[in-house]
Amino acid sequence: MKRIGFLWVTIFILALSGSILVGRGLEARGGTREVPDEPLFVPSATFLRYASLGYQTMVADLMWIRATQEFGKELMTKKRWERKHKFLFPLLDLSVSLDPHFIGAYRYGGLLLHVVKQYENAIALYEKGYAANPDRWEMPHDLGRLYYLDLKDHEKALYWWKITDKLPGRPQYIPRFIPRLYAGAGHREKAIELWLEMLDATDSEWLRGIIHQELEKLGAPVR
Amino acid sequence: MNKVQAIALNTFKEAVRDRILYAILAFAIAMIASTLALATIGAGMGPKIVRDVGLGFISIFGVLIAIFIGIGLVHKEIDRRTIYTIISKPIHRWQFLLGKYLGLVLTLFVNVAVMTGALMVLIFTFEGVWDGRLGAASAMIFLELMVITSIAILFSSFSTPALSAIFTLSFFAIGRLLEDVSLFGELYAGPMGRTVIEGLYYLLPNLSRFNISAEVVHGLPLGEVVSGMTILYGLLYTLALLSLTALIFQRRDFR
Repeated sequence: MKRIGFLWVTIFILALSGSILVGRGLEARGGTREVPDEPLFVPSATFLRYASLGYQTMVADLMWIRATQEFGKELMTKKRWERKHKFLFPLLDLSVSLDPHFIGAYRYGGLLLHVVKQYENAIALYEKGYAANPDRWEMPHDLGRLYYLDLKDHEKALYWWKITDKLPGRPQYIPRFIPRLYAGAGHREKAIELWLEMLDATDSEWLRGIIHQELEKLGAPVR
Repeated sequence: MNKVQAIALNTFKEAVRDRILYAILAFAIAMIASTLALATIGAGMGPKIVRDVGLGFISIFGVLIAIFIGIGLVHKEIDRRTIYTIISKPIHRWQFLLGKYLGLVLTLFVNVAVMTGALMVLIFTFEGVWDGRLGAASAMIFLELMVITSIAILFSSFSTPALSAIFTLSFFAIGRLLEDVSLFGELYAGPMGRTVIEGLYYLLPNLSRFNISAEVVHGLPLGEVVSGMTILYGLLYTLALLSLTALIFQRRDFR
C-alpha cells in the first residue's frame, strides 16, 4: 500500500516538473501565441442591461475598466491614428448607459476622449451626463472647459459655465470666468457690469486686485 | 412556536455543519477581497468599484446559497424518509415548513452579515471610513433573499431539486427584469396583452425593488427606495408564498 502511495507521489512530482519544463521550453520559443484582444463589436446597453439581471452597475464598472485598458493599450500600439481608439467612445457610452449616475466615467471618460482629440464624442458624453444628472455641476463645467480651452468657442463655453454657476458645489472660480467669457465673446458691456457687481460683493483684497486688472484690460473706469 | 423554533435551529445547525457552505462563503470573501485588484486598475474609480462589485458578490453568493440550499430543504427530508418520523409527531405540517424556512433564513442572515462585515472592513482598511450605507444595501439584499428562499421552498415542496433549481432561477431572472417586462407591455402590447402583462407584473415578485446598490454607491437619497412599503412588500410576498407552500404540502400524500 505504501509502495503504491509512493508511486503516485513520484508520478505527480515528475509530471508537474515535466509540465513546468515544457512550459519554459514553449516560452523560450516565443511564448504563447498572441491572442487578438481587440473587441469585434461592443454589445448594446439594452442587451447588457437584460443580461446583467440587475447587476448593471457592476457591468458598468467592468466596461469602464475595459475602456481605460483599451485607451492605455492603444497609446502604445503602432496603429494608424485614425484607426486608434475606435472602441473608446462606445465602451464609455456603454458604461454610462448602464450606470447613468457614474459621474467619474463622464468626467474622466470625456477627458480621455479629449486627449485623443475626439471632441464630438467628448461633447456627446458630457451632454449625456448632464441630461442624466441635471443637478451636478461637473459635466457642464467640463463642457465649458472643452469649448473654452480647446475649441475656442467662447459663446458655448459661456452657455455651459452659466449653467455651472447655478449648480450647487461648483468651483469658486466660475463666477470670475463668466465676465472673462463675456469679454471673449465680444460682450464688453456685460463683462464690465459683471466685474463691477463682483467688485461690490467682495471684501477680498486679492480678488479686488484681479477684478481691477480685468477692468483695466477692458478699458473700463475703476472705482 | 417552540416546535417551529426547534426545527429552525436544527435546520440552521444542519446548514452550518455543511462544508459546502463554508467553501461558498470563503470563496465569496475571496472574491470580495479581489475587488481591490479591480480597484487598482479602475483609473481613479476604486471606491465605487469596490462597493459596486462587493455588493454584487454579496447578492450573487447569497442567491446561490438561498437557491441551492432552499431547493433541498424539504426534498431531502422526503428522500431520506425522515419526513415520516416528523409528520407522525404532534406537529403541524406548516410548522415544519416554517421552521425549515426560518432556519435557512437565519443561515442566510449570518452569511450576508459575514460578507458585509468583510466588505466594510476592506473599505475601512483602505479608505479609513465605515460606510454605514452598505448596511442598508445588505439589508435589502437579505430581504430579496428571503423572497427567493420562499420561492425555492415552494418548488421544493412538490418538485425535484433539479427542477426546483431551474424554476427558482427562472423566477429570479423574471423578478429582476419585471420592470422591463412592464415597459415592454406598455410600448408594444395591445390592450389585451397589456392587461395580461399588468396582471403578471403584480403577481410575480418584483425583485428589482430590493436592489438599491446604485443609490448606495452614488450617495443618492434612500428614502424612496428603502421605505417601509418596500419592506412590507417583501414580507407580504414571502408570507403569500409560504402560505401557498403550506397549502400544497398539507395536501401532499407521503406514501
